[in-house]
Amino acid sequence: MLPEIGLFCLILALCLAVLQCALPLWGVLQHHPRWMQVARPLAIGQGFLISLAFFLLCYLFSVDDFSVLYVAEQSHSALPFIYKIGALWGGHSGSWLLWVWLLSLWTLVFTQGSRTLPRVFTARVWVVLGVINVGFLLFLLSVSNPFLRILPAPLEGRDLNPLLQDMGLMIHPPLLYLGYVGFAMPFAFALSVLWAKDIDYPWAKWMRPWVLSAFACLTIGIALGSWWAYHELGWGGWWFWDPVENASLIPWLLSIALIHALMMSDKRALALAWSLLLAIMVFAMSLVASFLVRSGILISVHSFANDPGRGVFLLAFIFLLIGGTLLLYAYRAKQWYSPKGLVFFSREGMMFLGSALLVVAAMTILLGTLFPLLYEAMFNDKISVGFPYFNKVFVPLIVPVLWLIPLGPVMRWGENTTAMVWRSFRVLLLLSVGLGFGIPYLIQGPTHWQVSLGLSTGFWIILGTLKHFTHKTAYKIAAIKHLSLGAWGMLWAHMGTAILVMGITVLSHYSIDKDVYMRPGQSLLIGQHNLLFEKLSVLEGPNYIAHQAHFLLDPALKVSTDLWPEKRIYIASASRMTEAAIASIGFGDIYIAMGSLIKDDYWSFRICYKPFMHGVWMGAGMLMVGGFLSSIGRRRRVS
Amino acid sequence: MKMRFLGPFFIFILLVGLLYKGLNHDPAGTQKVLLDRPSPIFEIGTVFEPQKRVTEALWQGKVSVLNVWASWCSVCEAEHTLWVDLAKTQDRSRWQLVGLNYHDPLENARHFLSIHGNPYGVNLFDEHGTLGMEYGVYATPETFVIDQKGVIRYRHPGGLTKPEWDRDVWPLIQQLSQKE
Repeated sequence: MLPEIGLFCLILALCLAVLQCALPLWGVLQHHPRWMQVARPLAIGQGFLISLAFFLLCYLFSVDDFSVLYVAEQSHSALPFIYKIGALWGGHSGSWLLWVWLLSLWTLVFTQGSRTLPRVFTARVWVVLGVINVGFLLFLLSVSNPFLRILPAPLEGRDLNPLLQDMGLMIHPPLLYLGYVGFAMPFAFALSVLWAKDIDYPWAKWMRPWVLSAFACLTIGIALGSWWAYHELGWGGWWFWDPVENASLIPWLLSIALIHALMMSDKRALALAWSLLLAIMVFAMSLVASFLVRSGILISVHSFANDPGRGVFLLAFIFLLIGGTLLLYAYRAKQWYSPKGLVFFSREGMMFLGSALLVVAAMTILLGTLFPLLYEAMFNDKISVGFPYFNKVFVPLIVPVLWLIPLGPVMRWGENTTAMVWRSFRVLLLLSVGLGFGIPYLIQGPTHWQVSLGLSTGFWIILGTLKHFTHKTAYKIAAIKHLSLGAWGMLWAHMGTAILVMGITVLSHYSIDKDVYMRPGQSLLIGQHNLLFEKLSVLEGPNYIAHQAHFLLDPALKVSTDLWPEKRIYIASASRMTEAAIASIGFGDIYIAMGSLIKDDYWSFRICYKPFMHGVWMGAGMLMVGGFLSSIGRRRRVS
Repeated sequence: MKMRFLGPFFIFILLVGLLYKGLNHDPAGTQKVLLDRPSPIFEIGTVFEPQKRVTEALWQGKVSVLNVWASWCSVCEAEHTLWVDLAKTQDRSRWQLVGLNYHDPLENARHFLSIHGNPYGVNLFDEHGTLGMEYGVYATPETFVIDQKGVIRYRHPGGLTKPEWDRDVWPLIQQLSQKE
């Protein structure tokens, strides 16, 4: 009965979504405020119904109702409770239900956020959101129904892919999707702006908080995904230039470009067409990213939740939605296009250059990601594009963007003189290059220039940002209180970027990776740390059997750290999984992943020392905090 | 409507076209370059003995299948189970499986093999891709069949599948090994 209720909720929600398109549309066409206003209760109704469907499916997972096909495919009665819930978004149908549910949550936020905005404008936004909802609900109901029953019901489920049985993966997809779906809001705004012919609303101001909060969610979503890969894949790496990772990086980079373009549009009424185009692109790439993950047309470590058959429906919908919008853009962009006011050597000039470079960087990633498809279309064969391409192409494009970061805030809007900019930056430049080259030299002598460049870049951003803030507060501590949330957001985000860059630099040059065969009793020296393989034991989990090794880090010290890497065999699917063990030393990590039994009692291990690994997580965290702070600040301004 | 504003639309159409094509890909079809030419001369270490020098003498006397792979290549990972399987099931007196590890740090290559199994008899270690260049490898994975005289008889860029092996590669190996 319950699955049918869930299905019925979705059908009702679809009806409401159709009304949400039609009624405000009628209102806009007839200039009738009554019709425009009905959208809000319709959206609330939809939010309620979709939430109900979502929680019903959660419940079906928790009680192991294997008469529901999707539950039987994804779950297993021995699965720990928390992973049963996570299994909901482990597969195709459920992950799209999650997508739709999150869209309805964003929409619910908009029912509140839209109160202060003009009625005609919000009515158009409602129509666009309604269209997106209709599309995805139709998709769910026609080809991807998560409530489908099977007869007879199997006694046991097929179990969740063991790779997905991890805390990181429990929260990673919802947050990632929260980001992707959140970009539907700026998209809907942009489309309404293009649709209305002559308006002079401050739409850029309205759009900003939505982009910022979606950006913050996406940041944390990507970081958690990376965290998951680091802990669960057993490679000691945290970024693989995997197609699905790339797919999430593209909207992320574009959203940074959009955030800065909107600032220009808001404060100086510049780059308006650019902002609109970026808003469309960010959402388009979010859709493409979700599509890539779920259609399985690219082989990746993520290829566990795909179904090519349903891809056509989705692709057709994306094509109509985005293609239509881009045509409208082509038709209407002219009225928002004003290249004259843009001065190159100015804050807006730097921002524009930065956003343009970010778009280029995102497009090179897209090209690299889709190149296997392109190749296959031309030569009928499969190839894989890996990190050599991305490192060579992406890094040289992103470094100039990073160097632009402090320039923007310190320079003024409008024309700046070279002499003045040089005066304010010459000391910083010397200092950051000095620190970048000096510090590694003092610690370990001659260093690779890339390390020094990376560190200089980090120092340059930190010092430049601090300089901006000392200016802003006029060197008075008391003035800090008066800084706006937006300013704090920028501080966190830019500092986070610096730390992230430094973390990546140190990691990519000073990581030590060792593949060794060890037996209990042996020890190994890695970096300056001693690792003792104490013993090996066999351990039984709820749905797996594991070989567990016990390592002692620096056993000579009074307080030594224990590490427990595991090799698990999951019973239902007979698949083998690596559970890495990680211990932190300072800001770095010791990482042990267990391989397999080689001979006698020798086991293979991958043991890594990852200096400043925490810099990556810290930087990502700060970027997220920055995004949220600015978003709250901007939201207050709007209302 | 200005043409410049239509740019994004056309790029998007290309993108969708590509994705659509991707949904409907069909297998088979190969490139025919470097075929029937003697294999290049080389001297290179192996993944497990980087100091050892292996030369093109490797090809002499036995039909070889040369598989170019890398640990960062996900298609290779998918293809790898096929090699593990073939190394176990197909009569090894007729052929040898040689790996060419391409653009990989040594540790990653070894780790890959320790996780996924090592079907290769010899595994050439081509850290900078120079040997790969000689063979005209443009991406991983790629598979060659080299006869007892060191002449390249077959080339398959991209992942090899079991049906392709049964249809093209195995008959070729049998035919070549009977010539002896």
